[in-house]
Amino acid sequence: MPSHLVLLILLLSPHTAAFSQNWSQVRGSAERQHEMVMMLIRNGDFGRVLETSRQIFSLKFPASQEHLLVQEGRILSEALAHHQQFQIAQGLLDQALRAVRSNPSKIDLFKEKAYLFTRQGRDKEAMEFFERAMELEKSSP
Amino acid sequence: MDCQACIDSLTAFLDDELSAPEKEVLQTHLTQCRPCRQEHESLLDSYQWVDQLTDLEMDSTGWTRIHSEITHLAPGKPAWVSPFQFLFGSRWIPVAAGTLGVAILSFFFLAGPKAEMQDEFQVYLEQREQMVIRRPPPSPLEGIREITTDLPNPFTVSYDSSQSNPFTQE
Ligand SMILES: [Zn+2]
Repeated sequence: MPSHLVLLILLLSPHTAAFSQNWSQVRGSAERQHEMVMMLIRNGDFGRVLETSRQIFSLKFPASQEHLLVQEGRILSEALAHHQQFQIAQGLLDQALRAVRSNPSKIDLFKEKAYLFTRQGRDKEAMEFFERAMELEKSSP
Repeated sequence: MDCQACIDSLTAFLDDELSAPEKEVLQTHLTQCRPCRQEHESLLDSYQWVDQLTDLEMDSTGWTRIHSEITHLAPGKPAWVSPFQFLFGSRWIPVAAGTLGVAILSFFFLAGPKAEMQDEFQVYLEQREQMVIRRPPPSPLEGIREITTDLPNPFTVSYDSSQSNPFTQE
């Protein structure tokens, strides 16, 4: 078969199958990576948390699944805060912030940073991030 | 372009320091975003106001008048000099008045919305505390679980709420 024809068939074939396969791979990687981060936290190996979590947040998530990254930010930062690792938890939320595109996701993560700062007793920073969330909330239609 | 980036580059825009493509992006955002447009307009107003100020020139008679008023005042000093006047001269009056004015204005312009924001934040914090991420509490038989086993994997396929790890497949 001429290579042009193969290319044409590939181009015309439905993308949905490829997409869902791709998504299930991404989801699977995220799932495994999540367990690794949790294991590091469990073992008190906090120094390796951010390099491992970065691999979750650099995965290409479809826009429709972006809320999972927000949820992941919440869960991992909760686990880190439980171990008093606030600095790493904030760094992790920053990774999540760089990974998301939509304003609602950013708003949720700004609020999460504010919440974390409150738990650290850093009220000034907490208010700053809450204000950023509110500004974004007002400016996005 | 997001609003923060837009606001950050507004002064550069007004100073004509942006490149053509940057200008274009910013102008497009301004046509679409009302809050940023309002910010731009108010900045533009103050720029124009400052421009007008530089046009005011003092004529030579003005300077002579001020000079003569200063030299006239000098001999008429009161016998008693208050400690404030001794320290700062009579300049402390406008300085104090200005400081007071700024304090009052900032109270109205900043404290109002600030207090409102504080209240909103408190409401959010209460909501956030209610937002349970953890799985249901362990049964007494299970004992105390480590938080990492207590928290869900959000990537799990069965994940359908804030209660479990969304990344896990079962
Ligand atoms: Zn805007």
